[in-house]
Amino acid sequence: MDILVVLEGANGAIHRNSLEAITAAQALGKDINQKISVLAFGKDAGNLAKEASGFKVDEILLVEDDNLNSYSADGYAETIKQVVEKESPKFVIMGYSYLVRDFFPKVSARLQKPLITDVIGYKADGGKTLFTKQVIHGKLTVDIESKVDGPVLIGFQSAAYSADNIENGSAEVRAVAVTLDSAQLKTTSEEPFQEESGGVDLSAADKIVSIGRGIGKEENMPMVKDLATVLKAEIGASRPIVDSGWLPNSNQVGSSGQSVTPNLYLALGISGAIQHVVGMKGSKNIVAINRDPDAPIFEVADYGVVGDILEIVPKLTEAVKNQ
Amino acid sequence: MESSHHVPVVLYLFALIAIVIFIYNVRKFLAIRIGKSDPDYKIKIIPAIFNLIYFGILQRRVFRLKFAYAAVMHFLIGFGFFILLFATTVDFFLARGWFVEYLPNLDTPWFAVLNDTGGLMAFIGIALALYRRYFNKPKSLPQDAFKGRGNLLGDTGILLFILLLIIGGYLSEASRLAIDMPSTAQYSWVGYQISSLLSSETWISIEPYLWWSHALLSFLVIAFIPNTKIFHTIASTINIALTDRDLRGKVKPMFVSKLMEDPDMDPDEISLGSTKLEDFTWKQLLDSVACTECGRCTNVCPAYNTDKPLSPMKIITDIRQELYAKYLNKKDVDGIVGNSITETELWSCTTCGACMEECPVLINHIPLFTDMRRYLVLSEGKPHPQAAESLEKTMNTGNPWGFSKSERTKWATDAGIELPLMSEKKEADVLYWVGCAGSYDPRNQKVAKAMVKILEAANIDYAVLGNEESCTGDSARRLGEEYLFETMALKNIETFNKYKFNKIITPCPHCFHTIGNEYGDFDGNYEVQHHSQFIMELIESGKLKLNKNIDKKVTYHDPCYLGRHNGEYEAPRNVINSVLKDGSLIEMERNRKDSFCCGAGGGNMWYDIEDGERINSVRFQEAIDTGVDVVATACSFCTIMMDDAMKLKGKEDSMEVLDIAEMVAAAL
Amino acid sequence: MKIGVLVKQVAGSESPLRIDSNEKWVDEGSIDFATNESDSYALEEALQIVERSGGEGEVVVISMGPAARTPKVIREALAKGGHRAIHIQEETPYETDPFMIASLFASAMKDESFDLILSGLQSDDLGSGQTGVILGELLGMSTATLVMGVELQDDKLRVKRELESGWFQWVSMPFPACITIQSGLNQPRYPSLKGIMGAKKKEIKSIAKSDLNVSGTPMQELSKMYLHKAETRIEMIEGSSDQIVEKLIDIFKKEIKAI
Repeated sequence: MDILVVLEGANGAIHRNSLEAITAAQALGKDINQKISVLAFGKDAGNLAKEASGFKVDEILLVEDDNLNSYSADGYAETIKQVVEKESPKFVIMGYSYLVRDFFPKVSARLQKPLITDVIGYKADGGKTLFTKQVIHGKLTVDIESKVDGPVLIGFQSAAYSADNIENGSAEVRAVAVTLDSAQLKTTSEEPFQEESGGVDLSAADKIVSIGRGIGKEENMPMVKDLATVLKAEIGASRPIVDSGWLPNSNQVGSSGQSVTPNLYLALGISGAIQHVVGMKGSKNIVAINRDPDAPIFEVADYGVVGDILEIVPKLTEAVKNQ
Repeated sequence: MESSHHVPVVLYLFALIAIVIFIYNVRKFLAIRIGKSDPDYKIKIIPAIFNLIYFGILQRRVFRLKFAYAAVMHFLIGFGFFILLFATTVDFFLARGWFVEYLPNLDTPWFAVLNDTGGLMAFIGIALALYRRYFNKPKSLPQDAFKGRGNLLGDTGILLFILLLIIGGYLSEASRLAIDMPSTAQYSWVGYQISSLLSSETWISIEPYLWWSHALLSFLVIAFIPNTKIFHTIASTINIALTDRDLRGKVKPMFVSKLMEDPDMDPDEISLGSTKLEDFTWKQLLDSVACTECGRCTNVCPAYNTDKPLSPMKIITDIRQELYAKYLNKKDVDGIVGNSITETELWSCTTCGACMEECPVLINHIPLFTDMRRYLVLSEGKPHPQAAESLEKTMNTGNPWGFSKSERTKWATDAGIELPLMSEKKEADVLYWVGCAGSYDPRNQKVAKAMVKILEAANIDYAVLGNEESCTGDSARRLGEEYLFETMALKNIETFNKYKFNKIITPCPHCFHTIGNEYGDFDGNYEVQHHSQFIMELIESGKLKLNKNIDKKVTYHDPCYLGRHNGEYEAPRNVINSVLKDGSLIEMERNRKDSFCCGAGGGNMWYDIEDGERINSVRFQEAIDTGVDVVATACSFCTIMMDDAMKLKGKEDSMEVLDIAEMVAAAL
Repeated sequence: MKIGVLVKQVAGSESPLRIDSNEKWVDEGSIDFATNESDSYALEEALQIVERSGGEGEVVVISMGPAARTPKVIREALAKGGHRAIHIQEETPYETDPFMIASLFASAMKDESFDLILSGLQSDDLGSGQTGVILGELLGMSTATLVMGVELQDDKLRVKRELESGWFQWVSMPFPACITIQSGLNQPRYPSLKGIMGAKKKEIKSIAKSDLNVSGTPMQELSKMYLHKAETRIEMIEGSSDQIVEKLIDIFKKEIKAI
C-alpha cells in the first residue's frame, strides 16, 4: 500500500481536518506517484466510508467493530496499528486534531515507526520525502525525514491544506477486520459536551477585532473595545486573554475556541501562534499589528504593521469615528 | 497660690491609686518587647531631643495648611492642655507647700489669665473636634477612620468626658473664686464670669462636691489614659523621641545570599518577611502603638483616594489590635497577613510615601508594608499573580517586560546611534544608566535618545553599560521579592566595579533611588545623580546652551521617588524654567511634598488593582483642571502613566506629556 | 501516590533566534531560557494533587538537558514543591526524535514505578506533543492528552480532555496513568524564597544520557532548520502612527470595504 489516510468522524461526517488530510494526500500522491487508500472506523464508520467514496482516492477500507463505538485511545490506536501491519503502507496520514493527538502517538509507539506532527507541507526530494513543520514558538521552520524503512506517520496541521481543494471521484469500499480485546482498552470516554452555552457567535461575524497578549494590561482593554464599537465589529481573543479572565471563553478564536472567517480580521498584539491562526486563517482580509517584526502572524496576514498598538489603536478609533 | 481650704491628704492617696492604676494600664507599652530587636537602631540623644521638641511639643507636622481646621483644633486642645497641665501640676505641689522654693510664684494675674485661657482653648478645641466628627464630616477624611479602634469610651466618649472635666474645672474654680475672692480673681476671667452666676452661699454649699468630683474625675482620667485615645499624648511623644529620622523609609536588606550560604540554615525556622508579631521590630510595634488615628495618612493615600481597599491607618492599627490581643488578652493570634490584613490591601500600596510625609508621629509605613509583602512573596510564594509574571521575566531576561537581554541597545542601533560602551572604553567621567524603560519601552526610548543628544551637545565623556545593564531590581524589592532584588543588585554592583567612572546619571528616579540609596548596603557606593540635577549643573556651568522655545502652559508632576523620597523638587523645575519662553511653570494644587502619585510605584506598574478609578487618571485630571498644555515629567514610570491617562481622557490632541530631557533636547 | 513530572527548559518566547552554522539548531548564545509553559501547569497540577490528598505523596521532577543550564528549571520546580529530581544530562546535538526522547525518559524512570506521570502537552521548541504519550506506552501506562481537569477517584483517574471549539470530553483511566496537560487549567505558583532555600537540600540525581540503557537509533531526524519567509502576500504599512492610521483607513475603505 502506498498512502493510507485515516479518517476521523465528527457528528457522523468526516472531520474537517480529515478532509484536509485527504487533500494533502492527493497532492502528495500526485507528486510522488503514490496511490491513496482511506481507512474509516469508529461509530459512524459506514457513513464515513460512504462519504469518502465520493473523493478521488483508490480504495476505502472499512473497519466495523463494536469496541470502537465509543472513543478509547487504546482502541483507536490498536485498530490503526493492526491495519498498518496488515497493509504495509509507506505513509499513514491523519489530520492532527485534538482527538487525533490523543491516539496517533500511541500508534507510533506500538509500531515503532516515526510520527511527524503538525506538518504544514512536504518536499519530494528524489527518493526521500521531507516533511516540514514550524518550531520554537512558530518562528523557525524545519524539514524532517524518516530514517527507517516502513511506514512514516504524518499528522497534518489543521488548515495547512484547504478542504476546498479536495478532488472528487469514486472508490470502492472493502471490509477489513481487526481483533480487539476489550480488556486491553484501558480508557473509557463519556459523551463530549460543550462548556459554555450562549455567548457571542463569532463564526457569523463580518468584522472581528481580536486581542492578544500584546495588549499588556487589562486596563488597556477598553481602548480595543472602543475600536470594535466604532468599526461595528465583534471582539475576539487569543487564549492567554481568556485564560487571564479578561474575556469569556466564547470570545476565544483558535483551535480551542471558535473558527472564524470574517471579511476583516484585525489582529492586535497577537503573535500568531498556530493554535490561534488555525481559527482565523480563513478570514478574507487579515490586518495584523504587532511590535515584533518576526511575529508569525505576519506570515498569514494580508496587511501588517510593526508598531505599538497602544499608540495606534486610539488614533485608529478616532479616525474611524471621523469617517 | 493661696488655697482657702485644706487639701486633704487623702487626695494624695487617691492620686497614688490613680498613678498605680495608670502604671498598670501603661504596661501595654511593654507589649512591644515581643518584637525583634533592630540592629540598625541606635539611640541618638541630640536628634531625639530635637525631634521631641520640634515634632512632639511644637507638633510641627500637625500644623499643615492642608489640614487647617484640624491644625487649629489640635493647637487649641494640645496647647490648652499643656497650660492646664502646667498649672495643675504646680498647684498639686504648692497646695501642700512642697517645693515652694523651687516653684514659681504663681499667685499672679498672668498666671490666672493663662490658666483660664488654657482651659477655654481646650474647651473650644474639643467643641471643634466634636463638631467636625458629627456635623462637618469632611468628605476628604475617611469616614470609618472616625470610629476609632477599640479605645475605651470610644473616640467621642473621651472627648465628652474631657469636656465634662473642663466644665467641672471651671465650676470648681468659680466656686473657689466666689469663696476665696483672691486679688487676682478677675484675671481668672472665665471662672470669674461663672462665679457671678450663683450666690456665694450656693457656691459654698456645692464647693466640696465640685472640688472632689473634679479631682476624682481627673484621677480617673489619668488612671485610664492608656486605655483611651489620649494615650497618644504619651505614646506618640515617646515614639517621636525614639525615631531615628535617618532610617525613615529605609527598607532593610535581608542579605539573603549570606543566609543561603549558611549550612545550618533551616528554612522552617527563619522568618522571611513579617506576619507574626514577633516578626516585626519593637520599633515597628511602637509605631503602631503610637498611632493617634488622625487619619492623615489615609487621607492623602492615592490608593485610598481611588477606592482601593488600602487604608494605611487601618493597617497600622490592625497591628496594634493584634498586639494588644496577644499581649493583654493572651489570645492566640495567627499571622496578621491574610487575616486582618488582606493581600489586596498590601498590593494596593504604590509606596509613594505621602503617608510618611504627613504622619505627625513619624510612623514608618513603607518599610512595614514591604516587610509584609516579603512574607507573602518569600514565605508563601504568593506575589500578586500579574506581578509574578514580571518577576519571572526580570529573573529570566533582566527586565520586567521580558524582552531579550541581548536586545537592550536595539533602541540605539535601530536609530543609527552609536553608544559609547563601558566594555570598550573601560572608563568615563559619567556612566549613563539608561534603565529598562529607556531601553525597551517605545515611549521612554524617546527620552533615552534625548539624553544622548544632551550628552553629546554638552560634550560629556560618558558611556553606557549596554547589554551589561540589567534591571536595578527596584520593582522586585518594592514587591517584597528581596531575593530577586539582591540577585539583581549584586550582579549590577559586580558590573559597576569593573569600570571607572565619577558618577552615574539616570533619568529614572527608581533607578536613582535604588542605586544611590540602597546599593550601599551591599557595598555598592556610587555617586548617583538624577538627570534633572545633572542637566541643571550643565546649564549652570554653561555647558548647555538652551533656547527658551516652549511657549505653552506647562505643569510639572513631581515623581514620588525623586520628590518625597529624595527631597529633589527644584532641579527639575529649574530645568523646565530654562526652556520656557516666558513666565514659569504653573503648579498643580498638589505639588512638591503633596504631589499625587502617578500610580506606578510599589510594583503597581506590573499589575492592576481593579477597584475604583485609575490613579493616573485622577492625577491627569488634576493637570487638565490646572489648564495646562504640557505635563512635564521626570520619571520613566510617570511618563508611561501620564501618557496612558492622557489617552484614556482623550486629550492626545490638545495636551502633551514630555520628559524634561525631551524638552531640553528640543531646546538645544 | 508517586507522581513524576517532566519539565523541559526551552528558549523564552522573546529570545532572538539565530540558526547555527550547521543549520540544524539555534545558536544558544543569545537565548534566554525558561521553563516550558505547559510543563509549569503540569507541575502545578501535580503539586495540587498531592495537596488535595492531604499532603500524602511525592512529586519527582525529571528533566533532560545540558549540565550547565538545566539545573535552573529543576531547582525552580523543587522550590515550588517538588520533592526530588532526576536530571538526564544531554549535551548537543540534542535528541529530536520523540520516540528516542521518550525511550530515554522511560529508561531513567521505569524503576521508580510512578502511579502518575504528568507532562506538558507539547514543548515550545520542538512541539511534537508525543513524548508524554509514547512514554506512557513504553511504561505500560494508560494515556490521555490535552487534560484540562483531573479528578482522582478511588482506583482510577478521571480527566477532562479538551476538544476544539469549546467542547470537552471526560475520560476514565486506570492507574498507572500518564497524562499531558494543557495550559490554563490552574494558576502555577511562584517559587518562594522559603521554597528555594528548602530546595537546596533536595536530591537531584544526575544520569548521563549515554549511561541509559536505550537501544536503537533515532527514527526521524531534522535535516535542516531555516527561516521561512512566506511568499510575501503581506503588504507592510509603514510610517509614523498617524501615517499608518491614515493608510489603514484607506485600506479599510477601499480594499477591504469594511467602513
